Amino acid sequence: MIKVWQLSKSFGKNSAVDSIGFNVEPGEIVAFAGPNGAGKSTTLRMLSTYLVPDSGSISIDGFDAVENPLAVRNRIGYMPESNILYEGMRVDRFLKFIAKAHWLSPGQISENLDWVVDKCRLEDVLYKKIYQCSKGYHRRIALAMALIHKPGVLLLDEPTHGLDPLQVLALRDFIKSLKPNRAILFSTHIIQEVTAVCDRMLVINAGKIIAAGTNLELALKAGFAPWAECCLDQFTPAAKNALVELKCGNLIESATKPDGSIEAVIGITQPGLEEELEALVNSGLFSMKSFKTAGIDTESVLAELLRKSPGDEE
Amino acid sequence: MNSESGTEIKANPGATGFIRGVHIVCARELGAMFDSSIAYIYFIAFSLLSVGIFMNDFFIRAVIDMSPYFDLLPLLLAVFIPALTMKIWAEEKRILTFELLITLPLKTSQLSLGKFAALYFFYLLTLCSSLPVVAMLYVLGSPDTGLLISGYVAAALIGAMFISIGIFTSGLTDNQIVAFVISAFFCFIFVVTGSHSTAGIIDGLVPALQAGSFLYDYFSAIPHYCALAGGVLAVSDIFYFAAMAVLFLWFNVLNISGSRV
Repeated sequence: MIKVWQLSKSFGKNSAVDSIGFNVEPGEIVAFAGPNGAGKSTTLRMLSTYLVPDSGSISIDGFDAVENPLAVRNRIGYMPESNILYEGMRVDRFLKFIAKAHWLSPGQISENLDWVVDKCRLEDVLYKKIYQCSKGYHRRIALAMALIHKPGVLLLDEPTHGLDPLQVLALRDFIKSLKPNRAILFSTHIIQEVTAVCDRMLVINAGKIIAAGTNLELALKAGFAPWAECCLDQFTPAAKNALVELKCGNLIESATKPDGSIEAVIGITQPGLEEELEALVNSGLFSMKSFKTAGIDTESVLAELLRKSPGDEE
Repeated sequence: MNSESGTEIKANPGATGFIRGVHIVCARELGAMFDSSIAYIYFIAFSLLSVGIFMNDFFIRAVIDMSPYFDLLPLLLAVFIPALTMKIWAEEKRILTFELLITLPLKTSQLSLGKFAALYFFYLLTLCSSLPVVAMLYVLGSPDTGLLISGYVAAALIGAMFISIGIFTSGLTDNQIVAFVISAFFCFIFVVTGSHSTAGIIDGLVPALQAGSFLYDYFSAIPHYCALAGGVLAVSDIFYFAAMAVLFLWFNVLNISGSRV
């Protein structure tokens, strides 16, 4: 859905984005994480067609963002970091204006307006002018603006910025609910957001993507030693042998619980441990009651990756 | 089709789509204008000043025509139209809604034309504030209807040109005051170069160049305006104003498109 290749952007002599590339598929939520000034917003602005890249290409739903910006704009919902709303307009009129600009029919406008008002909880402010709304409502209106035409691609720049904790939790749940069939890319420097919402993370620093992958993949890349805790039934010597010979992990310890099941702790050495264990379950060696990874402190992982990145060494 | 919702993605289809896009922008701008008190203050100030000055002259001259009104108009418009247009792009840039507007699936030409259409509609509405004067003239005597119509045509055309200049200069900056000063300067140049005395002064500076006469003949709006307001509806004069309006709108489209750096 989103394909970015060798994308670069400079402002004068300052390189804001330096030859980055990534894909985001439908049904995937990808976080763009990194410190302030890393190039997150610049990248999203290029994806939104507001900025034109110096080099590289952006393809959204098969349309090139430089060659065919109108088609791209029709397919994306863009929520910028700053509140770029017409403060003097009433909320309902503002959202209708955005919907009309996306070429929705009157019937669709009415239907989609009801949907975003419900999802973004705007009932109380719908007939108020935007400047009369609180900061939290400003963010929700901006999100409603990005969603009013029900786009297949969502670009959210710091979506929870300025929200209170309850609103943050509600918004995260809402973003997760939007996941089916949508490619969602959102930038953040709040680590809890990454673990709470995303499937994958792109770590950007000084305009370069320094790491990409799931939390586990990034933890391994950063040199951390995460482990898995799993509860197994029917633990035979053959099963124990299989655990010792795992490709993706090392059996650290195992203990028998009062109910006869085994609590095993497996050190993860490479991604794919859960899939490997499931294969063993399918072969009938044992059954697995539970599986969870532990020892991944995303904040420390990110800090370590940033510390190791070339931009930091400079 | 958009995912999940089944909302059909429509393109910006043909001439109808183009006009619809212009209408969407125009309607938003008009709504914003009438939502704020500025539009009403502007309307009252312009009407009182233009009609007030004319009425003063009317009672002194005691002639049943509106020539003094139309004679005064270009100078008044050189101040009032920049005041109307100064925020049209500059404000969008200052409060960052420019980013919102640029990332909507609308062409830059639709944005510029939509803004122009809104401002022009409001200008024509403001011009209508002098219609009670026309009614008064008909009550008091028999004014020359042709002259009245041509006066309004001239006023409508010079207004279109000045609005285009204002939109263009507003797109150059994020500061409304700077936009106003540049726009008023341009409009004044187009007005002032249309006076014989100014042309004479400029000619006198470098007689060999005859720059003042050149500006009067080929640059200034006033000779064209006076010809139209005087009752001569020549195609060349209409073309001058139309071409100037289109030229500055085109400059605006180029400038705004270039803002996507």
